[in-house]
Amino acid sequence: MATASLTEYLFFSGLLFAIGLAGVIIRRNIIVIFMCLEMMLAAASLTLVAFSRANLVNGLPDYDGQMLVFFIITVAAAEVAVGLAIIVALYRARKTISTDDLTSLKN
Amino acid sequence: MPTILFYLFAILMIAGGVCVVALKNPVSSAMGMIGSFIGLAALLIGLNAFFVGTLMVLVYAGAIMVLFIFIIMLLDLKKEERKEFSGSSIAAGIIVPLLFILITLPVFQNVNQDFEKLDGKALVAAEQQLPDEIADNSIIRQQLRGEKDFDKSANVHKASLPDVNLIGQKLFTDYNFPIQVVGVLLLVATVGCVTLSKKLHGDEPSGDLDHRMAKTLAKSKSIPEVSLPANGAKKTEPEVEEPLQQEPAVTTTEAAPVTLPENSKQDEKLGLVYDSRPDDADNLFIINGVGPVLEDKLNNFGVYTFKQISEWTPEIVSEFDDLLSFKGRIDRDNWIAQATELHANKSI
Repeated sequence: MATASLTEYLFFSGLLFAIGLAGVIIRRNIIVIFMCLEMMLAAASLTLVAFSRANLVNGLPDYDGQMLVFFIITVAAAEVAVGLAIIVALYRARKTISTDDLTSLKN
Repeated sequence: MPTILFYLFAILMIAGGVCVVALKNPVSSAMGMIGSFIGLAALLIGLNAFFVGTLMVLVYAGAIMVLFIFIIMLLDLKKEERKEFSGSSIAAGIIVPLLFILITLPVFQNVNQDFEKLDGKALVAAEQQLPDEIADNSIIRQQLRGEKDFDKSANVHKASLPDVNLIGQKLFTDYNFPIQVVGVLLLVATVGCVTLSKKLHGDEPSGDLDHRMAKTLAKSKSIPEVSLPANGAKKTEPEVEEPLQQEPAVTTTEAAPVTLPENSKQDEKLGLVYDSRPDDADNLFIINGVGPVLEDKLNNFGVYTFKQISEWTPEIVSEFDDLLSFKGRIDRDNWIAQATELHANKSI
């Protein structure tokens, strides 16, 4: 049975990364921007796992790549917790989470 | 992973990602995100990374997305999504990712990138190459040799990849120090969350504020409105008080029941305004939503004290809204309540 190759995995993870990047640029809702950032991290994780599967070490997948993904997931979880706490504090202070209204540094 | 399954889950992943970016409702975005992560986890499992794939579902689609939805519901963001996207940001948001995709396209030049098969024979061969420190009766070796699963129908041992055991072995030998560091990181994040969620002093308006605000409103309404021909030029002319000064005796002596501070007059559009900076001028930028620049603008209009802002009527608020082109920011940031509070604190 035909199986997907490394090329396809890499391309689709690049596509997911590009979509996340587009979301970060286009969207104005800071929570959605944050979700798109998470998506970009996840796309990078897919690349790491694909390479870990492609480069066998002693006949087994290279688990160093998967360890990196493990740490990315951990750091992302901590990042989301702190980031959302910041967003809630921001909302309490300004009553908005649209980046259009958060321009204090612009003046 | 068979190609057809690969494309199924890859399309699920990409479609979920597009939903996140394209849908206006943040809850729909979060749902699209969950779909995207499920597709991604399936792709990871197709890459024989069972542990990471499971972790992706548990941590991302489970914990993180629940946290996101929790915050979206908590802040009640549905009405926030009112603005249309600006043209320039859409153009940038399409061109930059397209350039990125253009950069990724050369991966298709690599022709022979099929994965080596990890079937029974390869796994048994891999078992021979394992380092000696892994014991002979360990689960890793047994599973690679296929002693764990016995296929009765074919009467052979089925070798399988002991993914979790191999990761655990790696984690607690080579990556022992990093995982301690990550533990510290999680601790710091926990402390940070607690600190950030603590109620800031004087952050929330106190309970009797609405009451006081109602009183203030009632007081300002008791000032009789002075009927004057509407001045159409006023809205475009920023220095409103200039023409008004020349108009004869608009004002106040019989209209306002309270005695006015010196240097000030009762403007029928802008309420109480000062001609020059009074001695008891306040730092208006203390109000949330007012910065130094806005304070300058307000000073130009003759607004110098919290008391003035606290006595604004809805008409005055909408007048300032137009003059400073705020689109409702005064109400949104609740300037009047804040100024009332600040003024009350000042006089204590």
